[in-house]
Amino acid sequence: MRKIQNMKRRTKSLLVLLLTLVAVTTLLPMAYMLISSFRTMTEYIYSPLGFPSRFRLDNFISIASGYPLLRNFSNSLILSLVSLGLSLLVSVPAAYAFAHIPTRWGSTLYVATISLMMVPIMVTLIPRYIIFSKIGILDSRLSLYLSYTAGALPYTVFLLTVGFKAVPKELVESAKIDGAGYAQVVFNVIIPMGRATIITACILNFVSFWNELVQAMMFTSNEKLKTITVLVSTMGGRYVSNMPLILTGLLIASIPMIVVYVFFQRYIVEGITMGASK
Amino acid sequence: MKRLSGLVLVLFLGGTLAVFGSGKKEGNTLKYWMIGNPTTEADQGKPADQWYVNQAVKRFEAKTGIKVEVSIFPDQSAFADKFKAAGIARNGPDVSGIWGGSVMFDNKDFILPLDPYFTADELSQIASINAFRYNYKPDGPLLGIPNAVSNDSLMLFYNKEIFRQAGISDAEIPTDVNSLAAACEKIKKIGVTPIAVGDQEGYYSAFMMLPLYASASGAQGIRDIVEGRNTFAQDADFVAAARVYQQMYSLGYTNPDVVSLNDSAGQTLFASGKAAMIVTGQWMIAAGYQLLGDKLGMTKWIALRPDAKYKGLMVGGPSQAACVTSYTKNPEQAIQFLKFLMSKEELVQCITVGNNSAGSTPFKVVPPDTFKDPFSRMLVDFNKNAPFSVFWLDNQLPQEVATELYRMSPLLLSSALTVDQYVAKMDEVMKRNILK
Amino acid sequence: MEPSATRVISPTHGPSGRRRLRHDNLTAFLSVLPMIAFILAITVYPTLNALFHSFTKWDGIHVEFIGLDNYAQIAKDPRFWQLLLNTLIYVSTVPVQILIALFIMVLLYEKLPGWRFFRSLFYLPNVLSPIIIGLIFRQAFMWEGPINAFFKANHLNWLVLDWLSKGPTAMGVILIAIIWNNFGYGVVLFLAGATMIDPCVFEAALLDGANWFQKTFRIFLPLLGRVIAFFSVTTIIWIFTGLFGLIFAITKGGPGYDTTTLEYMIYLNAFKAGGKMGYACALAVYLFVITFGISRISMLVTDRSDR
Repeated sequence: MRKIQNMKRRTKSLLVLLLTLVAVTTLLPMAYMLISSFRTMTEYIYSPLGFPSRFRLDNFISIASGYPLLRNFSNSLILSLVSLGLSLLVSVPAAYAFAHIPTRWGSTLYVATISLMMVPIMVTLIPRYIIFSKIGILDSRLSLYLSYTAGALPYTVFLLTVGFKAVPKELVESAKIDGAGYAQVVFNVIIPMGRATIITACILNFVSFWNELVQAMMFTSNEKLKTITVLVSTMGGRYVSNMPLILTGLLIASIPMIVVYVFFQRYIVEGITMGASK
Repeated sequence: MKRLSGLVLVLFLGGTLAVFGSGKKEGNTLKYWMIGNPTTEADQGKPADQWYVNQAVKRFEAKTGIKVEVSIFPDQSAFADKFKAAGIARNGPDVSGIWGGSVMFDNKDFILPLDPYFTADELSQIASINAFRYNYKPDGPLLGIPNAVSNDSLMLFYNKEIFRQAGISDAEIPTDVNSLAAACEKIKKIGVTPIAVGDQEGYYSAFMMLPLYASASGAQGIRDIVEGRNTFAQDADFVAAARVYQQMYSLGYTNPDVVSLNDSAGQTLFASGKAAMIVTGQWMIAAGYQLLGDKLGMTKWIALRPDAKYKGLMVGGPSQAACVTSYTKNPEQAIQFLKFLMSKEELVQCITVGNNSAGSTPFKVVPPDTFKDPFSRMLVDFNKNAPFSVFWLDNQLPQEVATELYRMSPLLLSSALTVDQYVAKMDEVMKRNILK
Repeated sequence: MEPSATRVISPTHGPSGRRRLRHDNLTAFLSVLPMIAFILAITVYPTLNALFHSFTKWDGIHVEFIGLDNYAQIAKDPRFWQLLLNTLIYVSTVPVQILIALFIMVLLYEKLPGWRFFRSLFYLPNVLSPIIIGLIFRQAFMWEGPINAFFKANHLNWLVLDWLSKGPTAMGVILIAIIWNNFGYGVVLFLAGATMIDPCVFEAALLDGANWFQKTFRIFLPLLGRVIAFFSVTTIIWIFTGLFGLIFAITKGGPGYDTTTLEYMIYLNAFKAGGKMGYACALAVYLFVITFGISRISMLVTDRSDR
């Protein structure tokens, strides 16, 4: 507190001014997207940099009626949630074991799992594509569930292990001595105490699944399965000359993640911090 | 927390059930895959059951009792992968559209050769049938029947109004490089972009450069290169064509953003009246007519030189075929559907409901007056009376070479590569891919 | 049951201890089994599969063993080195990102009221999908776009270019997009790292008469070293392996291959006819080796600097 009062007013205003400048620069691309979405194609062609003459919702209506948005959003949602569930189902027990069950091979396996984090997606993309083709699940959600989960496992196991390690051993031991079985320890002790980390892992994974492009593009070709991210990737080709329309589409596609971010940013920040302080 | 984990569990189980529950439908239904838009622009805006293909399928069912399930794939560039993946998994369609040339040949394992199922008489109804024989050899297995709704010809489209304003008379409409340059200069003088080019994907080297080359070397030139008897660098006509292509940009005859503009944006540039000409397939007719109406003009693309050996040639042909998959469980029924689609009645229907741009149909059975719009009639005319015709040249290249062609096109146009460098790169890739 | 204070936790030795050890081993094994199964089936096996196929000519169906041909062809191809150069150019944004993030972090460090709002704002671009970001930038820098319009309006006509049509300028657009996308991650990270530093260190420095510059450069930054290193490594690996969305949106790797990275090249080659899948797998192995090398080196460096 003393520090703030000690600082001269000038320095404070300078800091705020600089921050605002940087903030405005950061917001420019998004402002461009927002403002353009209210303009018409001819307005934009005449002057790409400008304000709408009237606030029309025409572009929004075109996008909403031209694309089956509900279907794409629900595809993204289902995909992200199920993959998330699957990741947790597999990671939680593993993280519990790494954090609380001492074994001779534990740390080796842990390090091996974590190091998988840097396997590039492209390395596994082609073989997965062929394998999925051969077993016939290529054009289905299952291929993405499997692929996404496998991709998320190393980081999720890492995050959860760090979080679960913070649960005091004594609590776990006393629960066991009280006769708690495996499931009870996990559900009554680990998960409640590690709740914050779990939520962080959920949010980070959810965002990365939602925004994922390559695998969704390659593993599903069916119109009915397209996610909103894949849909956006096709927009550039179709309405090429109607810039405001494309920008409106981009705006609509951004909204879900912005909303998630606004509500859950605390967890995202925690997750990043935790990753750094390993 | 129990609730949260319970919820997660339920979601996961629900999701997997949903996935497995929507299993594959068995039954005696033919699966038909179509590439691209369901049919022409005439169908757009109409509810799905009024599209030509869906109506055709209904007619087929009424006639034979066989059901057909149609799947449409608007993402054309990715279709080849899907077809191949479906072939590997053996869960693809019974009848399918497929791009001719290297795509079709590459998927040969998954396509049923058709010769045993067609009489010589039936085959004689189709022009350019050899375009769909394996490796274009007249004795190779027939892999597909040209698809009526996607028969394309390369044309030069122009804006009659802009030509008039620039003072270009009918006699001065470009027929070779010299008359093209003269016309472009006049158009530049009135401040309009002469030629619209959207080359991000690289197709314009196939549209503009290769036909120039073919006008001097005919059909044999490219075969010689592809089969290893000649190289790009040693073929003077090819080098000359590449040079002319590069000059279109360097002399200012095109829009400035050729490299970053993609194909459909380029088409829009012309159709919205901001450029005087465009060289592309006859699919331009619909959009062009819609936006330009009577201002739309169409003629053949130019020859490399005024005295070019194959001046007046038509480039194009059926780029898409309908084929039957080799793993279909109902080959006879699939063939039946195929023959239905190529029958005279269906072809006439297809054209009558508005598929006007199928002007250069490869089917000899269609009476000429089926075509109602002037452009299609013009196309039929051009094709019938063309002194020479050549199948799409980029389709004849091995796929790796075609990819290189598309990829290098913007670099050649913008002079990021010199003509010599470009030709050297093309030869390097061609060396590895010589067709036996 | 006795109260917990006097309870003794059974040792892991002796008859009951050994049983506990076995029991622990079994429980642990069962706990990690699903994870191992998943990883083996869906990550390890495909990776080995890719390695195997990198020695073949493969089109998805037909496999033809050709030994090191793919690797040789790649190493001899000048294009391969161009791809690496492109990626390195992208990596050159990392120092820029660090500088920007540090600058902002210093502004936010004093935690003036509202600092949380600013921090959220700066991180926001990071939650957007790269394809969305890429398309926004593509629209902005197109020939008829707002950037050119801005230059025209301010009589800076020499800056009016088709940004996306020449390699260097197209790359510039991608560089800006990378920085915009990722700097917020740095801000959050550095801020977290900075707040972990004990303020007493600064008090001591102030007592010793250090001014703002000395404070920042000789004390602050070195203490942040670990966090900066972590940021650098994760960002560099992201640039090598995760730029697909941005490149696809802005230039599709073009013009030619001027903005393509090794990772994007794998995508371009993966589904072409004529046995390119084996070639693509070899490219992937190169990529894997490079990223593995980077992580290894970074671990060695940070371990050494920690001491």
